[in-house]
Amino acid sequence: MRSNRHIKVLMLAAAMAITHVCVAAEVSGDWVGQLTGPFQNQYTAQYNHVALKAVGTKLSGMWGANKLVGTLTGAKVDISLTDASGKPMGTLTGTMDGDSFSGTGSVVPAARIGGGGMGAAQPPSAVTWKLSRAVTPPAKPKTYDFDPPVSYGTYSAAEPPNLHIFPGDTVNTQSKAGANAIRHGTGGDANIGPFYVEGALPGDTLVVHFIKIQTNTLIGRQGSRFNQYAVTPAYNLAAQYDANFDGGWSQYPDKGIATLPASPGLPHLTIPLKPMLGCISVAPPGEEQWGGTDLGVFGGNMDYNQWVTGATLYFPVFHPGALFGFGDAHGAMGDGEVVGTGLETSVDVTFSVDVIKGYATSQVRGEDKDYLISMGVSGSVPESIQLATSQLAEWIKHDYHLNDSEVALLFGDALKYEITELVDPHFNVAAKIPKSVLATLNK
Amino acid sequence: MAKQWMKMAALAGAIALTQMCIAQDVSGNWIATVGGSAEAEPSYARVTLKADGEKLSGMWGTSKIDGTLTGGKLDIKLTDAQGAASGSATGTLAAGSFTGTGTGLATGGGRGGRGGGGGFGGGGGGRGGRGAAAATAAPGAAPVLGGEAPAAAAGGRRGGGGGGFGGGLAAGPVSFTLAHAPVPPAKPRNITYNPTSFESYYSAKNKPDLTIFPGDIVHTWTTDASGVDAKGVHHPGGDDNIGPIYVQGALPGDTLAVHLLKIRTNRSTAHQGSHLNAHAATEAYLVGAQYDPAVDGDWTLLPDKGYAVPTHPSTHMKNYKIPLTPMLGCISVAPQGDQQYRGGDLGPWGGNLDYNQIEEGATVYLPVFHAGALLGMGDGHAAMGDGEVVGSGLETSMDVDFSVDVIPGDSSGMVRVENKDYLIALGVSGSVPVSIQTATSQLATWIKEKYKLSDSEVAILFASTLKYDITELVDARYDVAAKVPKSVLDTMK
Repeated sequence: MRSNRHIKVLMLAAAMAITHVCVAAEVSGDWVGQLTGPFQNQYTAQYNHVALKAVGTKLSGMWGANKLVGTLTGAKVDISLTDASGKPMGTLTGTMDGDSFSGTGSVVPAARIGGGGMGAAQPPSAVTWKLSRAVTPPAKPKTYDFDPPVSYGTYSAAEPPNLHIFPGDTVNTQSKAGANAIRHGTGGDANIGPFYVEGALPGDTLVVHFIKIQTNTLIGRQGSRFNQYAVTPAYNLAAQYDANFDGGWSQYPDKGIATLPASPGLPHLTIPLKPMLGCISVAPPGEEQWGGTDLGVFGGNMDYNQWVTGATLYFPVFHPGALFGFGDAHGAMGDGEVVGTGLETSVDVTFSVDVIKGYATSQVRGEDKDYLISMGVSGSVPESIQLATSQLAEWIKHDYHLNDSEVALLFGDALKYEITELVDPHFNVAAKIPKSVLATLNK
Repeated sequence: MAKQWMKMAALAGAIALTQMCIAQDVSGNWIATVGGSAEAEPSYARVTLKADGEKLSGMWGTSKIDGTLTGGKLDIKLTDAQGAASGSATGTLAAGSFTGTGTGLATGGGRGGRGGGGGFGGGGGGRGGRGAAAATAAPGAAPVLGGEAPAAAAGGRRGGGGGGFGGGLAAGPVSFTLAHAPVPPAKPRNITYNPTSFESYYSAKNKPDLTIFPGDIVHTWTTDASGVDAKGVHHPGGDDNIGPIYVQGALPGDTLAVHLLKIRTNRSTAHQGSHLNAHAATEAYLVGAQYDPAVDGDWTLLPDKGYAVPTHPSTHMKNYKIPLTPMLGCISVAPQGDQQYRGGDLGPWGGNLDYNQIEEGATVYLPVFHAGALLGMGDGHAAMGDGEVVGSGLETSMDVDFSVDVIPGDSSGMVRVENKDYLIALGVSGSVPVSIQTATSQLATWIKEKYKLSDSEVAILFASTLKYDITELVDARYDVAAKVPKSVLDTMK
């Protein structure tokens, strides 16, 4: 701390003496790079974490995963980028203007997370570019008490953020906006937020730690008819549902249970409460906009009954700030949400966030104290199974440095599946692997 | 003891009065075999007779008997529970059995009778999406033999289930035989069974290798899926099943309960695949995968320590170990009718279910399709993740202790399982979506009946407490388990 201050004081003194040196010294540090092009892709802007080091007129550093070298002469800047193998990835020219750079150039666009798409590497694209200073987090993480002023019935990057937070900050809030809050959009599963997470860029992973998810009301409501994807057509044809059946639950958060007082046929039924968030999301890619009941690579209405207190979720970030939100609390829910709802209620939520820079997988994943867990959201259960398994395999191969045979063997022994969601516009399957077994691997 | 005295008394009576003797012998439990031809299997009914002089009364399945037995000639009329005439029969007694003809004799096999059948919810090519899933299973037919429509509908139809003959009532007179029900030993036996037949097909044609009574405790062993036993001796077949084991008193329409008292590995080696199956990972993943030939899938089992380690570990797996959770991949009764399936297949009769909860302490409930049930088991895995994603578990041989019970007239149409924590229904079909539907429907039908719940009540119960396991992704058919915790069910009592 002290030596840093000394250096800063010395630098300041030097800056006063020689302006030219001063500029070069200030350029060194963390920046956010933005490339805007007519990319042949779903996005129009590519964001990267950029680290610059200036020595004299020489510039070096990293632009995302690419190596950067260049010169800064006066206000004029020239940059060339190469990938890890030394292959040219583009050139940029421009000028420095106060605390930012901008200009034009030609760059090979980054592949989108999750691969796929265009297959082969894309050709260089004409771009305009900008470098802005990376935001500096506060010296100490902050805690916010956030009373949601609005809720949204859609997932979209067009929704303006309602709170800016830094990695490390903690937020106390609730899953439902208050009675006087404004609600945008119709339909079910409104989400509070979005929270803008400073420093999160597309291609990063947003980490959300759920420190508390706790029922804050004594009532809950639930459907009582099986959805068509949960039972056979024959079963539902023969089923005689009681039109007057009252799916109103009484919750006893102190005892951790719920009962069905309004249902005379089930006077003693007692189920354990396990409050969860049905919807947790970042803004979906590009200009995509989805209804609140939907789910996808951005999360959304995943309805996974293990996203409870203590869970940590990892989201691929598609937009600067990630634009994180949540809602749709369930006091308890069986697998598959087979009646079309959980025990619908509201909860108090405490969470904190982190950002993993420059690494993301294709969908949402997470962990609890016992498992690493991957979601697989798609248009069919079989495909969801494949997606969940594949993402989990990629993740574990990456973190534990396993080869394809090793991860296959591991999964053959210890993989678990959960059918999380059968009744929403997309299906969701979880693949998970116990940490106790992972702990025996040599990284 | 008391029974023996009665028998001696009966014998004494027989010597004295022949006529009396016949009447005495006739009273008791019988099994009727009705019909049966090259085209059709026989039906069965449990019959109790009570003779009082020449007068005969009792029950023929669910019908009441009223008739006479005169000089070895049987002449009876049947009335159903509502008091309506439901059938009649005439026959003669010879060598301790009756033979004759009659009508309405196949009614009483039990609630649901063979109706449970069905099962293969027609999922066929349903690997696609929701459209395929919803379109396949046939709508359930009208209730069968007074059973519940959902039971019959548990997954579409194949054989007796939903549609077909409806009530199963034969139109004209059919032949029957009536034989004494087998009498179980006074005390259940401990039977050490060294299998001599290893079947790689599921079929009622397989000859029984052992006959047991409900309650008997059988101590036996199984080979691994390649037919290799604990001593390294190779027995022929693929997904070998020991048996079949004929269970006295089990009739079509019953449920066979198999209590798995012990399942333990009995050698130190196991083998496992190390490539992900096409149904477990995306095509992109599999195209990109670079499998390492050095990872050979050989395991060393350390049952004393409760875990297994790779025999030739790669760098990252030098300290890798997984807990031993021994299970049976295959457990079966003979499939319905003349059906014959390969050892790797699975269906309403069980078979290669590959469910990692079919382990020591579990009870497996199998629908009985043939007299004697014809139980088989094999394909031990020392451990297996969900879905058997690499195409195998830790394949090895097992020591197995089990006993059976017969639940008369309670056929659910597909396999169910119970362990200390859950009631579990399996759904086997040609697609995962249909397997999900079948498993949920079967579990709902079971819980509704067992706990006297309405459709709305079982739905809200499942809404908060249902769990699914994806048990099998890589065999000839898919298998999904639906389960509900006993801890919650217990609160309803």
